[in-house]
Amino acid sequence: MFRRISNVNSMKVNTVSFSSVFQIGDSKEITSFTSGLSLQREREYFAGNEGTFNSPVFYSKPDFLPINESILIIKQNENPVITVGDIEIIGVTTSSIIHIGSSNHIYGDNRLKHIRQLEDRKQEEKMNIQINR
Amino acid sequence: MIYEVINRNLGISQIQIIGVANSSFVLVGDTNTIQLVSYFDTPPESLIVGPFVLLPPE
Repeated sequence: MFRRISNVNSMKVNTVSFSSVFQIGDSKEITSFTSGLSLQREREYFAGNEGTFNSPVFYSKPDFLPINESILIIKQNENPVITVGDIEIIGVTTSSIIHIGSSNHIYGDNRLKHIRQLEDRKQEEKMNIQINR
Repeated sequence: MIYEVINRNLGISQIQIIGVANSSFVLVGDTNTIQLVSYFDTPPESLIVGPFVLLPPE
């Protein structure tokens, strides 16, 4: 299948971090996986080894509905070029990809468990009342 | 099914993006298939209110 040429005039990318990729050029297949455990804590103390990745969020297999219909794709590219002027990206992080060029198949998989740990308001109030007496 | 597409002109003047995170993609180009999966979990037990305890390690 014919792929169009990507033509970009200028690009500015500030940060590419944590297994991210900035690619200029075609690819055949892209697969990207992320597992994240996010701990939001009111008291700012972190031990550095807390938490596990044992939750079903991280090991569940995605349930794609099967497609039971055959499809014939006919594409006509009258203009063989995709043109972009200027691209400015501040950051790409955690297994993400900036890709200039065509690809065949892309699979992206992100799992995130978010934990909030808040202080007990009633405890705080009790302590404040004791201090103020 | 017959899916017919005629691509005429595709011209973009400017793209500005602050951030791309967690297995996301910025793609300038053609692709046949894209599959994206995202699980985001904040169950009731992941809201913890109370005396300060560290989370158990692995």
